[in-house]
Amino acid sequence: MVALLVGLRFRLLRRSLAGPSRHRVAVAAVAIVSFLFTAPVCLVLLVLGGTDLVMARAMTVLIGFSLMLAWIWLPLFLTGTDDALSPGRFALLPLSAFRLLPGLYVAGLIGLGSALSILVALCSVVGWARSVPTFIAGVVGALLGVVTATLIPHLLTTVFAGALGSRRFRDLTGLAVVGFAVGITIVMQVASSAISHTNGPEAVVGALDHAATVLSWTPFGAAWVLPADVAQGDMAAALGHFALAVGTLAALVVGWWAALRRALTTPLDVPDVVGRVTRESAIDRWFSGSTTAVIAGRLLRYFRRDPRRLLSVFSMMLAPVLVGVSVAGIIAAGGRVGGISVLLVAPFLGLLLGPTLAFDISYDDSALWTHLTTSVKGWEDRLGRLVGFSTIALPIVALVLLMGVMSTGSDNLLPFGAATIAVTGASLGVGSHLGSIIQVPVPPPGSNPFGKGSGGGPLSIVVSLLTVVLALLVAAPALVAAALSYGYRWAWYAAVPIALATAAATIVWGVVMGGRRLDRRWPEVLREVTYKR
Amino acid sequence: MPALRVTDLVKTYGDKRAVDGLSLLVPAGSMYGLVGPNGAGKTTTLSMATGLLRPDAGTVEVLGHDVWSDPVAAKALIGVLPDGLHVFDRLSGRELIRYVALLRGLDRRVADTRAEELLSALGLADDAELLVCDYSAGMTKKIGLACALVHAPRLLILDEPFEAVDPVSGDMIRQILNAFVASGGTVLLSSHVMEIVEALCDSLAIVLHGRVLAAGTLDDVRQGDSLTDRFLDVVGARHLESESLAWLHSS
Repeated sequence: MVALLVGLRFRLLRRSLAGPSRHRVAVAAVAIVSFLFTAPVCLVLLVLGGTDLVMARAMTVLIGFSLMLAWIWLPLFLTGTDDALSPGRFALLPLSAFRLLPGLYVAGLIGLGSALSILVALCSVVGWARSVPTFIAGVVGALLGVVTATLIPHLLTTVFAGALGSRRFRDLTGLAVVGFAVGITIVMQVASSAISHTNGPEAVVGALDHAATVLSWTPFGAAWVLPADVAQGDMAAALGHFALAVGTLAALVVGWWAALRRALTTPLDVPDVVGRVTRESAIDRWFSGSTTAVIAGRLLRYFRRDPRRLLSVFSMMLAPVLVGVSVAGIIAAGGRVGGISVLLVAPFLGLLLGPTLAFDISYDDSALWTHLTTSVKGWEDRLGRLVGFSTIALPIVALVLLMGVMSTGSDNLLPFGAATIAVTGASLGVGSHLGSIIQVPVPPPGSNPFGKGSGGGPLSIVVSLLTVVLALLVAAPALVAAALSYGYRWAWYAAVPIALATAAATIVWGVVMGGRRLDRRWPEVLREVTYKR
Repeated sequence: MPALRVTDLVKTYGDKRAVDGLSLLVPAGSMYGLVGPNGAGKTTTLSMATGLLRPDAGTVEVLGHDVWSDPVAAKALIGVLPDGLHVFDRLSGRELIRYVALLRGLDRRVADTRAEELLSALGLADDAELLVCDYSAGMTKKIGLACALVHAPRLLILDEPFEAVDPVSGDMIRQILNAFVASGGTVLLSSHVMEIVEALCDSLAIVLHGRVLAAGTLDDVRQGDSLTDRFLDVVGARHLESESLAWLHSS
């Protein structure tokens, strides 16, 4: 079974690499970038062998803990597990969860994330090879750590796959996103207050040591502290950490096994039950004047009813929650809110709208034929999607901007308002155009939104980065004017007009050029967005 | 003028010729059947005839309008029900018909009235508020047919309209198609169920390997035989060897 599934995974991988050359370029680009991020981490772990014990211990625990966190949120927001090996696909075969589990796990190890994680773990083993006992503890800790980390996405996707068939999916996703936002914000608050309350390098080491001690007693930190415990001769702590790490691993395995058993007995594509809809809603009244309006109205409905699009709405709602929690945290801590960080959230969120808009046409899958057969013009498709999406997204951006301005002072309204307008408009325009050129593979309708389909992950990352970079370039003059408006009178007057002009021009460009592109190659786009089984 | 004129249509996937110089003439006012075994190129042909798939060579004309050089005029005249393509199934049945009607440029009031009439004519009135993704396969076919009909086309192109449809709904669809043809419309439908084509169509073409093997009126094609026998004769039937799959015979 293990060999069969591993072989299947390799064949799928090879097939996805044999696809269009832009997939290969995207995979290579993502591999290089993530390696560039991992290399310094590995270096730190290797060098630790010669440094003092406290520092080595703190860094190993922090890096290990971050690795676990990465395995929680990377599958949620970047590239999911390949849905070819999703548990529901095995529902028809006479296989028990117990027999499938090892094969699915090993097959899941074949991938960039696992390779880099194993590399990091190996570096920590080498770094802790100070003596035979620390080496052995290092091997045990690294093994427990990597296996636990790589089990996390299996548990998450299987649990979500099981919940997909029900209304609970929506609540579960919302809860996960909000919980993640709150957790991250609290960690950031604790970290920044720890750093701001200490002075001098010794105090920093003290703070890190303290953080490592706290994290080492959490399920995701315990495994990594083992070699340090042995090196310090604290066998009681080592035993406690070992028990915690093994317990975590066992809990993950049992949880996954139970979820897998349920997924195997739940039919494949159970539609997400929304039930009956109202006969006539406000959308029918407000969005029926033109083809563009009708498409926008359909999108508004889809943002509520399509789990895949719902996920992107939830991710957007993360922003106001993040700002709210951090403002509340700062006020609760008695500090004055003056940081630029809460103000940056609005333009940042605006910048991220473009990629979501660019992916939207792919979510339609082969249903897009309706637009071909009814002779929808390219610009109507582009503008309809842009209007529908903006109706949901722009109020969130505006809310985040106002929250930031109200907690930091009204002086910031004009500069950050201008920056937000320019960046949001530029991103939407660029996204409109790019979405007509490259159609990213997405999970098919009615499937788990966390699986990206074969080979879609890297390409979607590249398209996202491209949209963001191009939008920043286009918005650069407006951003410069916004920054200068704090010191120069002329920039104060010029910033908003420049921003509005940038946004308007980019959106017109994106709609017109993207529309022309669609008009020239509608049938090819239809084939591109149709999910290949 | 024929309702549909297909001339020397070609489509190649890699080194496989899915459609290989196919020509077809569908007279106005006829109920025309396109029959052939699986993989004969029926769906590929219909996709190219409706502007969903770009042909490598050949032309398609709908009532004098070329589908690929004058697409807006041609597409306004045809109603399409493809096979194997999704619809916007997170809309309710009523919302889906309205969506297509409004995209077709109908006035909102007209779209609403026609949606109600189609829903009740196809027996979907009770499920109009249900999302199409919760529909059964047969109901999905019917809502697809409603969307194809909503702008009162002159030519209906239906890919496997009776697949997964229960006998009651099938009869309903048959009545609607007969009335459509009686009032001057033209239907081109594909099927691999010979009995349906024999009972419903007045003309047909048999397709194999992307080419037309026989075409004409029903009586011209079947030449006194039943259509099933004639079809098996034309495409070349294969008989199961007596010793093959012997392990299936349990007694």
